[in-house]
Amino acid sequence: MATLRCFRCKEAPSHIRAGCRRVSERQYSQRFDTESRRVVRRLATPGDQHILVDENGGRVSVADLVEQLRHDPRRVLADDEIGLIVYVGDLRLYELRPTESGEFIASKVTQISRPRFPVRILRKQIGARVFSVTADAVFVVREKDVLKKVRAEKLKPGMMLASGEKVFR
Amino acid sequence: MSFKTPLEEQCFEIARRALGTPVKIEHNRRIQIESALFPAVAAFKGPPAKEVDVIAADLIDQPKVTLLISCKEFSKRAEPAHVQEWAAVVRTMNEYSAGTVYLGLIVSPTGFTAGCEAWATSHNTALIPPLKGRNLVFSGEAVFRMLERALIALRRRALLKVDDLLAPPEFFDFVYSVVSDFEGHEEVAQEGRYLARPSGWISSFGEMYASLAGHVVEDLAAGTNGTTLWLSGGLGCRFAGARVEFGTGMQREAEPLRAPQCLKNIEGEPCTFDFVRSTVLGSRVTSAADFGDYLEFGLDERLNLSLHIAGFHLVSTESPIDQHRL
Repeated sequence: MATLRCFRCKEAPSHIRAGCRRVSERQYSQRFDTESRRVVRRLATPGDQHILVDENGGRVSVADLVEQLRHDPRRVLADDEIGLIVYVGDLRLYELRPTESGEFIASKVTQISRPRFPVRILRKQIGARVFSVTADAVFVVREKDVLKKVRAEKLKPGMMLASGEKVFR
Repeated sequence: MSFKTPLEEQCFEIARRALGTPVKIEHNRRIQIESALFPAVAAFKGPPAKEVDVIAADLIDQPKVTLLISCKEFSKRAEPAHVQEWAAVVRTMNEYSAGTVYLGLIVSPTGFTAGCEAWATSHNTALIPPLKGRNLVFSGEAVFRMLERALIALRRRALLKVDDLLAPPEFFDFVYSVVSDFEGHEEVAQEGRYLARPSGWISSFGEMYASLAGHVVEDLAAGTNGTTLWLSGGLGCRFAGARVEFGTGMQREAEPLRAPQCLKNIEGEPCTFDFVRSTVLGSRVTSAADFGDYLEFGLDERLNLSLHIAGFHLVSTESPIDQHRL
């Protein structure tokens, strides 16, 4: 199964309400351009689980987007036996991640990667979210007063992510 | 051009091929900061300088971004001190630069010890091969392909936007993202069952089916080492036991023909090759399965055609079975 990887995203500290689909472009620009400072780790979850939206909050199909962009050689960073990576940093695309409170955190997406041979998929519950993630996806875990990178396959219940979310399973 | 080690030579050739820009290699090069008018760098011996072996390549001119590659050829994995050393060189070059932005990359075919990552990320120094949090050993060939992929992607990325890569750990993460997927590829490559044509790339069952599904059977053939299904669009799928080749550009002529062993129905009743061939011609591939010692294709959702090394087996999938025997 092909997977999508969005990484090096800028996370907006303020939450977008789940029902807040029609936020105006202005609001989005303000929200993301001025408040996006914290860095989140990349995700490696199956493409069909990603919620990708444009700056107006409109849903974007990852598959259609990739098919469209892969024919633009300027954007294709790599397209070989390993997989495809396309640059989308200028398209103002955001990935929405649900939080425990039912709101969404928007993370700016700079590139989309579709490896031809993704590694094993795991089911994880982090915070209130239960989702699929590739075994090699990297999470940043807080251990006492230090941050440490941990692969998804080595996440253990009880660990706390740097984002404050708890790993349940 | 002289090289100290084969690793250097190979990295240089890859950099020249991938970047398409003038690439320099210098041994015992005395690198010195561009702007020495800072009290902080005043010393009895002059501004900071260091002799290094470096592959240097200019990525873009506006702003001028130069990649400095250090090749580490050790019998063991590179240690944090090696990363720290290169990071210090690149950091000092940047700190007292007159406009040029330097990015640092270290290639160590034997890999890096776990402690290197924290130093590399904090100094925005890219590592090839990547540290993935568990003991992974990549072949030398894979490491060189990683370097080439990373450089091609970096060149293209720099033309689009480069300023966001300059803050730690963006450049480290960018290179990591480009080369980390080799892990999955290497795992599949070890098995090496599926081979895509004409690229010659290692492939997977999913890709094989995706490329063959919906195509119409045009011919069947049997060679000394397996059987082949020829499909519309110039596609072929050759089953040779441990290896399955598929795609376009496969040579028919190179395959010496022979009379294959043909069976029909679940019981495996002998039949002629002409019978199997005439029954499946014009059918469309609607499903597929790989059973290891044979490959099976569903045709028009009413037939199953199995490709064995020795021949073909055709079964009707319609029910009731008794009324749909072939």
